[in-house]
Amino acid sequence: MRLAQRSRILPRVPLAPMGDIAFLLIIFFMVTSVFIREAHLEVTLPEAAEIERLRDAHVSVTMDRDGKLWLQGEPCGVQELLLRLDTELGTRVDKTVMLKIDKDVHQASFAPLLRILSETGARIAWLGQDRRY
Amino acid sequence: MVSFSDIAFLLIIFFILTTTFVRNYGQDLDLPSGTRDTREERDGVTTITISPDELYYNDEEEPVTLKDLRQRLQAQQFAARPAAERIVLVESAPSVLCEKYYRVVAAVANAGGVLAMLEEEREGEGK
Repeated sequence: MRLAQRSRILPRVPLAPMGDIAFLLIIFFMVTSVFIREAHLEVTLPEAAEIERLRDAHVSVTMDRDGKLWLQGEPCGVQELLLRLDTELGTRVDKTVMLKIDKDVHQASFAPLLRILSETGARIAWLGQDRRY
Repeated sequence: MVSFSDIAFLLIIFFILTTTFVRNYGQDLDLPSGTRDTREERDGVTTITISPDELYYNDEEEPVTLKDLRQRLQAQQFAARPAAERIVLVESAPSVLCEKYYRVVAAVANAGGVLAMLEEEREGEGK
């Protein structure tokens, strides 16, 4: 007896939506990523007990161990800092400056920086490391 | 189409593996904005003097520890005061390291104080 052959339906996995999702994920990562501009700078942040989580800021000022000043990861002189900060902050809604100063810098070096920052009227988020003691 | 989604997923895996999430920790600094003030009155204003070895509170002769300083700043209850009465003058020796200065500044900010830097006027400067 010959059995009637059943027509075999090959299952198909729809791959097109998977590619769509993958590209949406890539676009999400690319849009939300903020690249670190100071990755090349070596700064050891000071430690303190009163440390809290800070919001991200798009403008950053860094003073490295040698007292060299960097604005947005590029070298900057103290004299030109006020002007360049005004330019950077001028177009932004969030007027926060992220400040990083190496723990071994002397007050004589960073005091002019704090004075200039106070003159800009910006909100200053001074970064440090948590140390409970 | 299959190779298209393969490339996309490879890109995602690359992004996931190379991304480092940075969380910022520190202290929001409340600095009085504006230019220098050349007034000399200190009456009623909390003053902290930082030397390379010691901390002095309100021009007292005996130095204080950082722990004492925190307690005394907290006792001032700056948060309940108007902005003009929250100013804390911080005077520092030029040789003080950033870490020591930062701990004082963090204690002042945590207590709700507004940091004002006290500087000696150099010859030819000021208004």
